[in-house]
Amino acid sequence: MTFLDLFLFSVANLKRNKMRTLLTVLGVVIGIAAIVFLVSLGFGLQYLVESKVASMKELTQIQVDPKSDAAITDKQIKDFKKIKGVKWVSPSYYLSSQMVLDGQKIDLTLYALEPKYIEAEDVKVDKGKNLKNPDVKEIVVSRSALKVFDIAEAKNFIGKQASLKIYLKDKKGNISMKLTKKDQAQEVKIAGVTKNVKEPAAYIPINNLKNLDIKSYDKAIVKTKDREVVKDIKKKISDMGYRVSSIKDTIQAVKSYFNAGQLVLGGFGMVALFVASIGIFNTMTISLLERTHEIGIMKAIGATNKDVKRMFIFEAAQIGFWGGVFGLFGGWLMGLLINTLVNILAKNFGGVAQGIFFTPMWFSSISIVFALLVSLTAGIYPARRAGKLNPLEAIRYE
Amino acid sequence: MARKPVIKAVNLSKHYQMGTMLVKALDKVNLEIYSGEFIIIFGQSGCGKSTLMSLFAGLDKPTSGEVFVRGENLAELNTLQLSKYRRTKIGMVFQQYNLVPNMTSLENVYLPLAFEGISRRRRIKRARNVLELIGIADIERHTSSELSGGQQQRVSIARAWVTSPWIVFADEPTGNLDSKSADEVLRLLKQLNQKSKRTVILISHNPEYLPYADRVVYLKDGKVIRISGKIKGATKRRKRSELESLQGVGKTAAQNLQKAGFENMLDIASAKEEDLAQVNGVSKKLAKLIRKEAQEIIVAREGFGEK
Ligand SMILES: Nc1ncnc2c1ncn2[C@@H]1O[C@H](COP(=O)(O)OP(=O)(O)OP(=O)(O)O)[C@@H](O)[C@H]1O
Ligand SMILES: [Mg+2]
Repeated sequence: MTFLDLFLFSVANLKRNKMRTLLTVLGVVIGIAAIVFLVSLGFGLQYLVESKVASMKELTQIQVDPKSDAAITDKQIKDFKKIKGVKWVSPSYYLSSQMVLDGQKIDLTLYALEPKYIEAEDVKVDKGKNLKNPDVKEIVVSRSALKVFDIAEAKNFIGKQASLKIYLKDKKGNISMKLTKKDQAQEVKIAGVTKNVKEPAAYIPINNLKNLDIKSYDKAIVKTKDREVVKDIKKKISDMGYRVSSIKDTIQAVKSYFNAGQLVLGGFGMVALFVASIGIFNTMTISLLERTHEIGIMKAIGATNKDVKRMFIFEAAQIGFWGGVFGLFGGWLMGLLINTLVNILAKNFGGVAQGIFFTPMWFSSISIVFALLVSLTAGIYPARRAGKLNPLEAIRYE
Repeated sequence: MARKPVIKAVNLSKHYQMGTMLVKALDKVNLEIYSGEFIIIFGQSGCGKSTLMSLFAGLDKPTSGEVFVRGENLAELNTLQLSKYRRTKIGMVFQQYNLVPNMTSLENVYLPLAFEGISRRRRIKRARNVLELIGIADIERHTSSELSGGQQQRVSIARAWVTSPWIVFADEPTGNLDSKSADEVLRLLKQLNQKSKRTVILISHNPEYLPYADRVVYLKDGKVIRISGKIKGATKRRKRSELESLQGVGKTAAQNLQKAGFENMLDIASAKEEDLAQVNGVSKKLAKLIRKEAQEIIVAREGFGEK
């Protein structure tokens, strides 16, 4: 039998009991629609988060951390700068320090860095000004560092003088409880307050701490010229012995979280599809019983086992295919509907329109292939049984 | 005897174990049926007629003994080859018509050709030719539920005929018909047999039909008790001249062909080339040529279009 004939025969057979065929296909439609709908929600949310996490700027930054046998010194910073594709390098170090403000002692982390790169650290000042001049004794303080004060208004601190003492490190590099001597204390002015740093922290231009004679940095941010070179540069610096990471890694991590979420969501849809596959099995088995007599006739006049088996397989495949196509369309349509609704709401409340459902092309194709596979799996056993029927017995069966 | 039977049973037995009882549905049947014969297998209900047909059609396996079709042992064919045998070498007509419901007459008739993988266009053409030949072209669009028993049986005969088989089996084809339709169906089978020289094996318990047969095989309790009638020899002379009409076949070559079992055009057309070339006075080249010519003659004679 030719494939065209198998196709035409299967269409004719499916048409014989239209209601039953329709209901069986509907089962697959619901299963696939549920999967597409839920997984599209997963994809939509993933892209939403990713687009928030990864602004263009941050995608071109690599964070370099030292390892025990690879310190970041001024020499290394120069080496990093020499790598092709590197725009700039911003070294920084962290110190545990104690700030005295209005007679209150506050322990906080002090980040020493080049003011012009402070944005790379994602420090955004919401009150006062950000650091600008590398040689002025100014700091930016995080909101949480000021929690000890009752005064909620951050404004009151702008322009105030504070005194900073550093906790010294011992020979092994561990932080001791000893503070620098009084005469080494830094007298600084609070230039701004930042909200987006959640820990008690202060930021200071690195030049102010030159007198501490610190030989190696705790971290460096390497800015690349474009996104494409990030991978190469990362590898080069990693080969030099450092630990490197970039926002791309974070995105990767986010992705893997979402993939897990999608599996769970897809799993719910799978339950529906599983029920549908039982429906297909049921339909094909009933069809087999109804058609036993005519299968006997067909075999008596020369149909091979394979012909008969294939006729059934084609029927199952068609149920799966159409179930997949309409299920995909249905799931996609539901997502589109909700997207439109959310967008209308968002616009009304002055928000930014953004879809929370997204169905990638590849996933669409996969869902149809999947529907096909599921129905073939469900149909294979009845098809085999049909193929193996004994013609003499089948022909007597009424 | 030099003639080769188209189908032959050798010590053919089929036994069924029913509890403690052994039913010998067929018991050591020996039978030779020749190309172009109209045979009636006659006997009472339960004497093993249908069993014999199932074995001849390769639908069932004998308990012992063998069936040879043009020298080929059916026992040596695998499932796939048996399907092919049923599809191309034999046709079957049943008492219950056994048309596929939901299919039109035309579709039912071309079904065996569809299994053979013949294109839609060609098989529709051939099916129409056969429907025409049988005189039921007007009902090609009807499904079996819209047809009378006699009409259904003719569609079923058309289906058996469409592949130009060597042998057509008809198991009580008139069993469900009134006497008028029954007569028509029987006459149709006889006509087709005479016109195309295809072997027809009719199974019946009705003695009224016996005059139609060239030979009657009497079955009783699974045994052949008598074979009446004569193997068609009277037509031999005519057949010889028929073969002589082929390009390059003289009187001796025609005689040699007949002695080797190639009696008529259909035999030549359906023979293997190398078998024809075995015959004295027939070269390989001639074998190829006469086979082709015979096929064309058959096609022209039966109006079946291309094969
Ligand atoms: N599958 C089977 N199992 C057991 N016994 C069987 C089977 N098929 C046939 N028989 C027995 O074999 C014998 C011959 O049966 P068969 O059908 O060949 O008879 P028949 O000559 O065709 O009869 P009818 O004229 O009634 O159709 C019967 O006794 C029948 O009971
Ligand atoms: Mg019978």
